[in-house]
Amino acid sequence: MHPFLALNPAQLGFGIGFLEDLFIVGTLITIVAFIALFFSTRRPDAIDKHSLAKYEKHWTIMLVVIFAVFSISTFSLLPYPYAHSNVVPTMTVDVQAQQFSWCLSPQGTWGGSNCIAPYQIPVGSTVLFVVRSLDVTHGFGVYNSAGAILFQVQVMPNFTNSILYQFTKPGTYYVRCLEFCGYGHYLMFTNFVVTNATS
Amino acid sequence: MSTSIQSSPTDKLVVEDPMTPYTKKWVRRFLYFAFLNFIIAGALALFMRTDQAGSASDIGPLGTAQVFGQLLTAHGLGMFVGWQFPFTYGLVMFIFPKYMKRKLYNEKLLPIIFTLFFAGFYMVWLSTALGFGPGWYFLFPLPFQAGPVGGIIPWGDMQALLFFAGMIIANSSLFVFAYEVFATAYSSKYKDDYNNKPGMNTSMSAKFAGSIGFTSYMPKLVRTRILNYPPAVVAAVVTTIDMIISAPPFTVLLADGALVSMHDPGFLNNLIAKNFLWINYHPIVYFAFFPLIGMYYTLIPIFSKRSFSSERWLYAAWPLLLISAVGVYSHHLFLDTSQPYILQLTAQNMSMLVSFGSGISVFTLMALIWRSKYEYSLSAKFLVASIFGWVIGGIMGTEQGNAAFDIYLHNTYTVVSHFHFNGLDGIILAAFGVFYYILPEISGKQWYSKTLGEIHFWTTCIGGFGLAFDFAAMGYLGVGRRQFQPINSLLPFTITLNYQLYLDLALFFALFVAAAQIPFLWNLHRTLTGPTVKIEATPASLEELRIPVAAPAPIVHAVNARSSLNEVGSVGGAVPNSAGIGLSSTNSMPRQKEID
Repeated sequence: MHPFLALNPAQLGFGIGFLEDLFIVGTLITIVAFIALFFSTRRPDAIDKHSLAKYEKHWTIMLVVIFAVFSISTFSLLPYPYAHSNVVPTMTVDVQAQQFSWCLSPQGTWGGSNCIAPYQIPVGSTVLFVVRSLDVTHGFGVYNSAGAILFQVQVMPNFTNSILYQFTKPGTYYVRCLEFCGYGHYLMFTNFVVTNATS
Repeated sequence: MSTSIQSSPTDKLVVEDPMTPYTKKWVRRFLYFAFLNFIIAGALALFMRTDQAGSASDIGPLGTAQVFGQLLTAHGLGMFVGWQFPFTYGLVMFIFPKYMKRKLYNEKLLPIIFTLFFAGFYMVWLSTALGFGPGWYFLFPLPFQAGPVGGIIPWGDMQALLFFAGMIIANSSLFVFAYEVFATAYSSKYKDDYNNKPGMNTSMSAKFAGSIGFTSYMPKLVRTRILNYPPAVVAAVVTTIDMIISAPPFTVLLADGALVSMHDPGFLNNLIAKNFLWINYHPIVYFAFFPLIGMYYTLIPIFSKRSFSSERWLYAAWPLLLISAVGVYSHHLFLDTSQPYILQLTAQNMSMLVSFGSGISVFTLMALIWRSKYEYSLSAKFLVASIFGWVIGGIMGTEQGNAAFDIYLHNTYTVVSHFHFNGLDGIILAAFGVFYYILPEISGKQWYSKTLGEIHFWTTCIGGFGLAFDFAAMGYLGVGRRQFQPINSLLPFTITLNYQLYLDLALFFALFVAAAQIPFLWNLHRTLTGPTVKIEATPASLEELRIPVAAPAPIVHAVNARSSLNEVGSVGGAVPNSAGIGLSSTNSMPRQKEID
């Protein structure tokens, strides 16, 4: 997929697994660096301040490059709908949260008797989830059937948030609240199904 | 640099030692109070871990969703506020007289700061004991809409009002503290080099630049005429500025919360309330950390017997950290798509700036240790371990500071892992290192046992790092934080069965951390009940470390020694040159006359 068409990092292969690998590699490098640091003090020597100042400059430049690339390269991958003005969602799902339950309903119907459980989404659909809350702040977190987190967005009362996601695999997907919303927070979950029917 | 203060035009008082017994007494009280709260808050965490591991029924009345919510609220507040505020207050009040050689501007304010914080914070904890439990970061309107649990409303307006009133009182101590800091840092009443050094620019703007490290970015011609403040003082000033910038909106939020608790409709919408919360709650995490970084810059040259390659690198990170510590806050709102886009982008880039500033600092400190005669005393070990925690937590924080990746990480255990690396394995370890180092000086007591200190260090490290790595593993599995029962029989996840191992490990490592504090407490008890001895003051800089034994020691009666030191060019703790001298000490305690 072209980087500028991707809706999120996972579509380019940089999902949570990539982040985990990055963390592991970073941790290992740090461990090696600290072990080397420890052993270096067993062979104390005078330091060449001129060289050190040069290394400091090189290190600074390297940090600037790393962090600039890490930040700028992801600007097009923000999951916010307004970051993808060229994308027309296949369908829109209204998501209404309330302590401690979820309601998914067709666009513009918002809760009540319109709640559909489990909600059906055709595979391949690019879905715009529009979320709102009737009471307190919740977190709309979506997991696949293997338990891996796919995306999330905050659900705040009196505000409407939204997020885009394209479902490429059929199966059951689970919604779990990812913002502490009261003592029943851990019980707030539901599911929806991505069906084989095409969009 | 003779230290004197003119309290009134007719009453000129020459102070012999800026670290007065009165200041020491209150520094001790702040630090003891901080560690008391740390122990209490840590115990609360232990019960949370017990709940999540499924062993709650083993410990009686605990093990309900409500108690879990109260615990997580009280634990978070206990660590971020209850421990951190008094620790920072105590440390900063130690830093000024010790490293800037200035008596506190008005040390009679110390009991006021202490009393306000003590009263306010214990009201907050009392509210949680009475059922209040919206989490340590209380997103509006949850404090006023608890939601029923088993048909019961777990808290009401009275608990909410108690909480907000307590927070207002506790936070008012911050304003008094800030007054003390700024007055001590900038007052023209002190007759010392910062105000009077011939040939130097001692204007208010120059002093301000010197106090936040901005001189690093000035042309040589300008910066050489400005006296840099000692690194620890720069750190103390920067953290205070950040907190005082972010305090007004937070105070407005607290006032609004108090009003709503009294059935007033309030005046903040939920999004603004969330902004006002995080604009203060993000800098809070740096409140103790910045002064501790300042202590790295002060102590590591002493432990490694080496000076920094240049003052510019020493100070370059601080203006960046000053700006980004507050500017970064909106990354807590990455998943609120109604938050203005510009704030999201700003927060992402500020997050990178924090990482950048941290990266410069870590490199500078590690380069100082590299191939030095580093003294692996107890304090020195704590500091190195805490830098390790800082780096690991920073890697994770950089991932979370990117909005595109945050959709996988927000509110999962990766966040919990991040702040346990940075908090428990970074800030707390550094705090222990500094506490072991300065306690003899402020108490007049020699540590009872070095062995107990070593046990404390290793067990805290094993437990602390084990806990944070375990949280990281859970986070990358996608486990949401603040779940009373991450494994729920009603939940149709089969994958959650994999969580059990990690929840059990979390309990194991939490028990390890808890057990680690027993030798610390016993050591502290025996130390404080032991005999008072004459303790030499720790050196304030590498320069002071270099005083020949025959010279007056820089201790309690060290005004003359300091004066003579400054006459040969010591500049407020800055360390100008040389690759180190040969010391053989392996003792973490304040130095004896052991300089070769």
